[in-house]
Amino acid sequence: MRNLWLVTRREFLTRIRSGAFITSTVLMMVTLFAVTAIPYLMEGGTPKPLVVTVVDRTGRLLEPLREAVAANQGSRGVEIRAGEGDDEELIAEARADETALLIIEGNYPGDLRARFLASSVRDLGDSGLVTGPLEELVRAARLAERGLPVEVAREVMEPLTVEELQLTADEERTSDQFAGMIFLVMGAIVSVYLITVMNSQFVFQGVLEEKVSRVVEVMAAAVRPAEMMAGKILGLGLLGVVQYLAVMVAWVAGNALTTSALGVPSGSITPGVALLIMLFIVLGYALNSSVLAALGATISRMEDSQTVVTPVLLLMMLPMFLIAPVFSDPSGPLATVLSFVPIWTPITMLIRVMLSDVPMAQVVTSVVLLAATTAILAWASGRIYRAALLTFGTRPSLKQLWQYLKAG
Amino acid sequence: MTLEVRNVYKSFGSVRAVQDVSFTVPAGRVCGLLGSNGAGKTTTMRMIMRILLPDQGEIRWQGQPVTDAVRAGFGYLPEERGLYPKMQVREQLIYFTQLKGLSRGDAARQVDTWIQRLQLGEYAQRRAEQLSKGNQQKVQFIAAAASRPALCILDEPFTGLDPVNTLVMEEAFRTLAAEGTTILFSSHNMDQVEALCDDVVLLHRSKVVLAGTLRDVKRAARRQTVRLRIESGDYSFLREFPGIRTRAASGGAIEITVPEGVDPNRILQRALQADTVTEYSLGEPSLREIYIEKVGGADA
Repeated sequence: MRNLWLVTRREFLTRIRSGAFITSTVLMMVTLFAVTAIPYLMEGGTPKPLVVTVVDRTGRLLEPLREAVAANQGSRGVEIRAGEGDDEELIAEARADETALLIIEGNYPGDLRARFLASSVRDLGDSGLVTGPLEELVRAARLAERGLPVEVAREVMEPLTVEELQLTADEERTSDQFAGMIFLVMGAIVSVYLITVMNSQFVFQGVLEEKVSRVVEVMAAAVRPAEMMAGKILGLGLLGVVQYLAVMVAWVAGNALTTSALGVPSGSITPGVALLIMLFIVLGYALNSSVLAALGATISRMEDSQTVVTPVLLLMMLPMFLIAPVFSDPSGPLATVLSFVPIWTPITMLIRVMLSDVPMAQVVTSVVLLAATTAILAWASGRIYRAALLTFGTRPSLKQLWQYLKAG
Repeated sequence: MTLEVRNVYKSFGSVRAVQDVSFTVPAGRVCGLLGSNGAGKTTTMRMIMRILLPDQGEIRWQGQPVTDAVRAGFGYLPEERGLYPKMQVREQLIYFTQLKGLSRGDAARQVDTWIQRLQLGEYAQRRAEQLSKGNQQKVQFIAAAASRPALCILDEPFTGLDPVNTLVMEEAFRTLAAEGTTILFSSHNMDQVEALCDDVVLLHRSKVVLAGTLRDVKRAARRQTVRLRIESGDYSFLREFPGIRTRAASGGAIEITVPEGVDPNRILQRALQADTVTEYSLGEPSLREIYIEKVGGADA
């Protein structure tokens, strides 16, 4: 046990002090912060107002429109400027200033034509902030022409507010809450992925380094193979936790900025989901790292490492490639089936649990399947590791792996 | 208080690496494990270190089977040298020594002592990869010696060292032996083995062909070497002795390999009858000669 502790400690301390580890952690923090804070960063904090030059050739709409827009508090401020002149000049100006242009002409209110021109896609998308009130004004005016008092006309046209709610077992989430939850889910699966896949690669590299430098024989003369393997996995796992906490700080910061900028409430995690995340991290990491440790032990030359590890890594990354369909239908058949396949379980089941209702029995079954698979693979990996540790010069084939498994 | 290797067998697939190997190394002695490449030396050493387990047979230390706990008292320098390339020399030596059961403070003291003995002071804070091969080998020796092992297994500790470093290493080797550590080491340098060993074990084609104290081994060779010079230079009288081999030596002398059953004194008497003897000396065969005789010149 003492040697297990010494190995764990060495793995942890030598890595955490290395420049490569510090650089990669900082890079991950920056990346995750950037990814979660993109919506906020793009708007530069508070969104810039939509600037519209209104050319009112009817001479009757500018002021009422200004008032109506001001009264209509939207998600983005609107600044209305009066403009006049011929179209070409106005368009050239709007291009130069990157502002939007609203040209209203024709007979008011019966036969009116309006054009909204903008160079930015974002401004085009927000055109409703100005054209909505304009439509209301014009409709009200048309109704008034036909004898309906303006106040009545306004009442008639009061828009209907439809509240959209997601039904879950114990609450109804508004669509805004759902959006906030998505950010949380992204954070959860990215953290599970980072630790289970990225950190297991450290284990692979560590085992390979010991083989290539031949220090493995000195170690094998002092420490049992099981202690060597477990110490490495534990030490680098602890390192993963440290890295995870650092990355989470960046993620929480980015998430908080974005949800506040978008005006959606940030989601929250129940203790059950938090426990599930931890469970998936531990099991997923144990599974991946022991498989990679065994593979590392079968290689003795750096140049063989890529050919051996790439297919396995691809397999481990596979769950990330299928995220989109799972996200779009977390209760659908694809998501349900995938959540029971051990390599997909951590990520798929997390998405399902956080975005939809999953029966408890399904969650428990998936965890048990994952735990059983992890136990079997860790056992087999231990045998392969022990048998392969002191072999040099051969590149592992499946047949060879089978022989190691029998010999260990 | 002995290392006992008893009827040990080890095969890798169809290759029989070690067959029925038995020998003992009494405590506090230095034993040379000799043999050509592929004779089974490294496999035997790895089995003593429990890196490999024998297919059959038993290895005991002080009467007990070697377990992980017993092994913690052994030091090991493998044939394939290996250090953590990015780790500081002193730091990794302390780590290896701690793995053998010493406290950190104890390990640090031992490591510092050995670093001084092997004149590595200026490299102690460097990363292992920044050291020359010779210095890395000295570091590797410290990794084997610093835990105050009861038994030290050294697989070709002197290979690849320059003459100056060989001297430093031999000195460290003698210090280790003088501190009471039992040593089993392999080498291809027979003169060195003769100078450093009390006992020898010779492996050939995975079997023991010779084992015992250096003195017994030489005696058991049952032949002696006579160096003889007579004034006339006419050695034809030697034909009277059946089975002897001669070869010209420097200064007009000849070297005679005297087989078992022939008394060297009779050769001297006969030479005195024949002529004036100007030189006569009687010697035991060198380890190198015994080795070549047992293993065959090609493999030496």
